[in-house]
Amino acid sequence: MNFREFLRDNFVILDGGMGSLLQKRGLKPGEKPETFNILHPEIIIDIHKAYFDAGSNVVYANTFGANPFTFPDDDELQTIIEAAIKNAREAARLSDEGSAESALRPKFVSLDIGSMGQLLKPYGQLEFEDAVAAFAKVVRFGSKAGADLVSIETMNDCLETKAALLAVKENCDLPVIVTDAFDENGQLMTGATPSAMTAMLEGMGADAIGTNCSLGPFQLRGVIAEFLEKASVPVIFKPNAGLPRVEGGETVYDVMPDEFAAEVVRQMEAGVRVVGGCCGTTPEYIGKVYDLMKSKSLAPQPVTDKNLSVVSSYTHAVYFDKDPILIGERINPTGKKRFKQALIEHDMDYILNEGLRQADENVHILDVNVGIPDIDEPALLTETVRELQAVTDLPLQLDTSDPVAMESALRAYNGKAMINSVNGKEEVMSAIFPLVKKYGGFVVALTLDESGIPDTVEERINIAKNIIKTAEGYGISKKDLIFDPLCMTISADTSAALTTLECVRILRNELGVHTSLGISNVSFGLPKRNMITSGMFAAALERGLSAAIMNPFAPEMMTAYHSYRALHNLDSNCMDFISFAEGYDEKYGTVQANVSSTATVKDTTGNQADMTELMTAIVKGLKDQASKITDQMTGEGKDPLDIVSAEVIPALNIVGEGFEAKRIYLPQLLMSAEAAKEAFGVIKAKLEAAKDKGSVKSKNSDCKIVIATVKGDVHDIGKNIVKLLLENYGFDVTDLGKDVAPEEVLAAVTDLHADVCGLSALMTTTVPAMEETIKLIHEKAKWCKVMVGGAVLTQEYADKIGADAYSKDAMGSVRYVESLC
Amino acid sequence: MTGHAGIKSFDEPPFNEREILRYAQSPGCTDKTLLDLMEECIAECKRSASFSYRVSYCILPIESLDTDSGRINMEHISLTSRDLAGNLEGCREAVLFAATIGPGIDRLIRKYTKLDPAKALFMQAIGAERVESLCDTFCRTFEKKLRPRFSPGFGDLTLSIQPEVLRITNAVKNLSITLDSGFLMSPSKSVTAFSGIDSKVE
Repeated sequence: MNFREFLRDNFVILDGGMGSLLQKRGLKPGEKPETFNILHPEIIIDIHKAYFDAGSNVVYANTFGANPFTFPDDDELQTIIEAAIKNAREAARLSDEGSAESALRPKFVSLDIGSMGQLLKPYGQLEFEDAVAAFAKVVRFGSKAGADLVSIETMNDCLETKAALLAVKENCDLPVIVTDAFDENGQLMTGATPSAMTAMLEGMGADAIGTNCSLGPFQLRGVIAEFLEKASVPVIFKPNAGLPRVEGGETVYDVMPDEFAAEVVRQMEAGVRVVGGCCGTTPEYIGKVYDLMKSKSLAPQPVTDKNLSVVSSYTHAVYFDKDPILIGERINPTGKKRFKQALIEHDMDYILNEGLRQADENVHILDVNVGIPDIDEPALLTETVRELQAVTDLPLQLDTSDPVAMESALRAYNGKAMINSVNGKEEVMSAIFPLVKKYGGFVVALTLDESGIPDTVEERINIAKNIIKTAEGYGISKKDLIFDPLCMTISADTSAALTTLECVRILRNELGVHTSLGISNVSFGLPKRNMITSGMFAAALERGLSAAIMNPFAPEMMTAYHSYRALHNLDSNCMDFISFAEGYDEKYGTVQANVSSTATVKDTTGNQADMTELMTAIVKGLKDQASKITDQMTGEGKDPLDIVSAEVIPALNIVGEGFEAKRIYLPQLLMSAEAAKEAFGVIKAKLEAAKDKGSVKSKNSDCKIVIATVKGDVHDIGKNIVKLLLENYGFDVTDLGKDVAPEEVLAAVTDLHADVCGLSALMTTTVPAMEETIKLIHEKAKWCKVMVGGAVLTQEYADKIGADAYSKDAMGSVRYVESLC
Repeated sequence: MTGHAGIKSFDEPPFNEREILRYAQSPGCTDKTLLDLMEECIAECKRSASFSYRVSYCILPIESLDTDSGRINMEHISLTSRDLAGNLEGCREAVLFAATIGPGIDRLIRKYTKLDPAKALFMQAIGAERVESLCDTFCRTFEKKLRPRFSPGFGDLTLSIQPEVLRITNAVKNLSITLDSGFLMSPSKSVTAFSGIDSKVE
């Protein structure tokens, strides 16, 4: 019998702790436990055999820390893994020989894969593909050595778990069981809940999933309950023997074998199928579990398909059910000039901001589309996914028609992604469905095929049926499909919406699948588009629409959404609606600004000053106000450049002087700078709209500045503040980022013929890199002045390393550059 | 106490707003807009930073210590630092620990670095205040009086001993703290430090 067959119909008893038993038998602190496979095989075999004797069906070979980071030499790594598997196999043989009762129990040897102790990007430095490659080595050695299955365990990061599972799937056909270590909050160290892990791991085809280590059986009740509620595969429970404490130099645990067994067996009765122990547990603990299970004659409950439609990020899962899901549509260049420009200029900050602004509107998922002609879409989509996931925990919908870009982004994605899209074309299904099977995913299926978008409801439904059938052939259940019956504009065909709405009804109510619409299309070509779009949204929701790709900044759309939820008993006590309605005027109402008058207000500098409303907004750091007032002023015909010179710059000066005089604080300076940036944004857009591009330049923009954090240093907050202020004052700033090599700085200074180069360093250890960069610039780009700043620098230090100027803060850098240009 | 080592989890220490303002370069600030912004950031941290307050530590007997040369021999580790030697002078043992509040705050810092620099500054400040509060809480658990904390990177104590510090405190396994090539820690809001244990009970 192989492991998969055994798992299907039986409880599986795993083993217990290994590390503490090895310490008792001579493993010294700091010594690598895996070396015992070769140095002391008899000890390893003895421990494994004790577990088999006690009732274990599976022992984890002693390979937890056997990875290329601990054992950089491949031959050594392979030898250790081979020995480990051999020892476990020998223990199974000895146990069978030693007892007739034991011989009746099926026994399996698992390759054990633990965390590599390296945090993946963006938290740490390890690249995802490097992690996959490292795990792949372990998997190949283990499978070659004859393991029956692979166990991935004690992972505390969603992405590292994914890397390990992907390595298993790509390098062997063995069954694989996965357990993560959840903390007191019921989350992994990097934030994932059991629901989130379930979504991703099931999607990728893990044979069983659950939790091990970190806490005792009682503290993990909530975690296990969540797994049992959400998982459609067998659930694993492998807790510690309670919580550790040190007594007389020895670590002891607070849950005794009988208590441990009672709680573990209680969870088996609740539906857990695979059990064992982790830190602090011994063969005695496992023996108690086995005996109690036998004495109760427990029969395993069948594992049921929970039939959940779900996507996830590295923190949480989002379920598609009665409550509508909002998918933000704004990361998409279609019809957006500014966004296209950002893609061409590789302006990642702009793209991320579009995502974060939508997240602030409480959308559930972000659509990500970066497809424009002549761009490396696989690289850009993947980078965008990684960067977005570094700043937001919303699940993403990967939106591309290029299967290469789709696969690359799916690999990088941390969680179970939404995939946009597949359709009824054979060629598309055969390209996309294998990716869904391999990486997991929740797929948008468009009801079109080789002959285009059908006009009739019946034809669109037929395409949907064909897609469901084809997906089944790939092993993809219809719970992982969501249909988009296509929203066409009613300005071209006034019956188009009716067709779409009827399709939504049939798909949801008769075919039992979820539906999504790219809802904005319906109003294309019409005035006041949001009026129609939100009407369509409400109508579709009434017919059972599960999700919409929509504009969350449109008040009409959010009104339709909140009203629908309140009316359909999806909003407990109408709390969400009330909070939306109460904030409506402030959020969407226009500011009644009297732009011509000046108001005497007490500014934050403590002075009485005559300030216009715009100046007040900037001084007080009110972003939204600043942008609305500027918008209103330009709308009333005020010259944009006058606004800059008469209001924005004077306001910035008030703040800058207040900061220099220590009357106002750094966060206030930053808030004002952001408010000024908003006002500039409005002004720039007006000027460009008036095709008046040439005049947007202020005199300062003739002065070119290159700015960077030096090599070896990753601190960039200070540098970003300097950049923001310099840009506020109209300087042309090129930001090279952090950890920038001297040669890269020189190249940028030379290419741009920069007047000033600003360098930042926070640590004493990186000042030599700063000195080296200054030397290089002074030698090869003599025209360029170098100013430096950062926590460790002083005027004296700056002089010593040859800088032209030292700036103690951001305003100082503005003053210095002003003095030059 | 010899050979004493372990890992401790703590409940959330109260937020010290005065310290947060100090870390945000706004000591003693009373401006309402700014204080509101700080409250907003604290609320968001409580909601989504998933703080976990954990310390992995060991007690190291000091075998020999020479303040002139800075040579210090402790169980498991020998190093040279005049500043640390001065700090530990007269102690028979020291606690070496690694503390972290987890990586959630790093995501918030990254997010606001893109979105709102004033909030980014506050997130940094809150993270710094949190991990320092954690260190204070941990150090208060000792019956004996502890000397002021001394971290790698202070004075002449080189950051390059970080790998050894993490190994001895078992911080990689217990806390998942890792180092980059410049010996900086991830999660970024982590602290490693020595603290001399005064021989007398306070």
